[in-house]
Amino acid sequence: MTAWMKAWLLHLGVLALLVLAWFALPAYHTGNLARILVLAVYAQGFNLVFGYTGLLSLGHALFFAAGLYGLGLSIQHFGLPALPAIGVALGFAALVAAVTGYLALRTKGVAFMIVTLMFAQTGYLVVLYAGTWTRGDEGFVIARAARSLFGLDLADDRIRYFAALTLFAIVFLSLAAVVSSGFGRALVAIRENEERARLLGYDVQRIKWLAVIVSGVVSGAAGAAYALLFGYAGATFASVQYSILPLLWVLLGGPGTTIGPLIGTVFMFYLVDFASEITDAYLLLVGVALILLTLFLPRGIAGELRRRGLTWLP
Amino acid sequence: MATVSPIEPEADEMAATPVLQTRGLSKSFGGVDAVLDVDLAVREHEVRALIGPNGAGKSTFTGLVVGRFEPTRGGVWFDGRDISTLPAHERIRLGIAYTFQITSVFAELSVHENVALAVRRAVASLNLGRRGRHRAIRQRVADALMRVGLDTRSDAIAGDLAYGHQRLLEIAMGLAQAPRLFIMDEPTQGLALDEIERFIALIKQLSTTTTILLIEHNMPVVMRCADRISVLESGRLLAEGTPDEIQADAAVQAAYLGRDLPESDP
Repeated sequence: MTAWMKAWLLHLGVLALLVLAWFALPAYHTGNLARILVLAVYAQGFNLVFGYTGLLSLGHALFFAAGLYGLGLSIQHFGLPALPAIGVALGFAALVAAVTGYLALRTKGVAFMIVTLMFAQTGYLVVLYAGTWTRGDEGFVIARAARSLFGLDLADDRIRYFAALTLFAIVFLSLAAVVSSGFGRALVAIRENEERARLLGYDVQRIKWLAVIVSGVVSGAAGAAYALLFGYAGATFASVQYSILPLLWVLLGGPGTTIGPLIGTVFMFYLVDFASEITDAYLLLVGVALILLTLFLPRGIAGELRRRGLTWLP
Repeated sequence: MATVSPIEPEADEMAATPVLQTRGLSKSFGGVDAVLDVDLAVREHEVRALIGPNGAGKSTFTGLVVGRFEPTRGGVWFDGRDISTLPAHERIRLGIAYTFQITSVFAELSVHENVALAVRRAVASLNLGRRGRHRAIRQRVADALMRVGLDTRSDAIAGDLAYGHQRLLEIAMGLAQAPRLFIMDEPTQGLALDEIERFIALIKQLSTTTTILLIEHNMPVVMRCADRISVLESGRLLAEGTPDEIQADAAVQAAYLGRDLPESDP
């Protein structure tokens, strides 16, 4: 069996498991899983830039929030139906990613981290400043009536789960195709040795920019889906916390692997869930677990599996 | 071994546009002239060696040619076209391949993928269709690895290869691009004797289809491969000629070769 076939079997297998999970798991867990799947989409978007291209962005909350508010505000204040609102959200996320990416990519390394962080902070402050429309920290609830797509009520648990899974599946399979394409290999080449890639004739700057835009759109799609499926938009989602979270998910799951973001998001979600049942100081437990993982699995869970024999993992 | 230059340089310059030409090419780093007023013309299918003591500006010169640095003055022409303002990747796309002085492979990727990255970019512009492109990539990778003798190491991780083999891998990455001009910065550094022999054979074979600019410290290799030699010293072009002429040149001997010329046999 070729590596290519194994990879597709793995991806389809994961999706099949996620379909089965709806029938096999109790409502509490499927509710969690719907949320995890949307956040895993966000993690996948982040992974394209961080895991594959080697660019550490600390400002992805900006793109998540662009999708979240692109959708939320156009429904709330312009009365758009969900479908065109999704279009607005994706377009807005693409625009924000194109502009900030173009500017931030003039820097490298630590400077890139700082610049992306600052852009995201600016976005966060704009959300607070425009409190008349965004209602700032408090946020706003998107009316249930507006949350329907193709006549399906997205507030319904089952429909919400499968809507989240559909989005996840589209992104999961598309990104798997992207990273195995010539473009995806070029991203890895840039991550591994930028100067060598340039002197093989790759337009490194343009390729990085495209990666940021694709990543921004995927992150924006996650933000839009979050607002639409869970009916809430608030400034927390634009805060620095939401720039750091995808980094943690991807680091845990395995940067530069297609399956890593999902693993990391599930793991982190249940780690917090489990730790907070035991003690109020759950963040302490989470912190210790994270330190242990980075010490013993520096390539993340999927990265470690790849190193230990599953070399075909894309 | 200067048998391959039947045409006089003057006649040659009139006969055809050089593949590579620099005029007044200069680069200074913080007031220090690393390269100063270098005029160089390399004609098609020529093997041109660039020699000179350490710090003579050889790597800076090739860096200027491929666009790693911007020149302080002067310009670079490729096939008669002024490429002085093109970014590095666009110069490479015109048909220049470049290997680094300090080994620079994709250490975490497989040998095959290293070469495939070179080929993929090179065939991206060809109108082959998806399948044709895949076949072309596989074929060119296998061919390039075969020519440097790494065909059995195709699945190895590049960083795990011995140093000499990493040098060969870099050469394979250049070969795989089927360049019009192949610039190699000290390619034989770290190679074993039999690998050097193989390299010399490769250069001879390659020179029938490609123009080669070779920076090399190993004088026997230079003497056996080069059609013409340019000598750089302190950033300036000190001398230029056939291997025999250069060996006989008193200025070169004083500046670089020392009193005793190295033997022409390795």
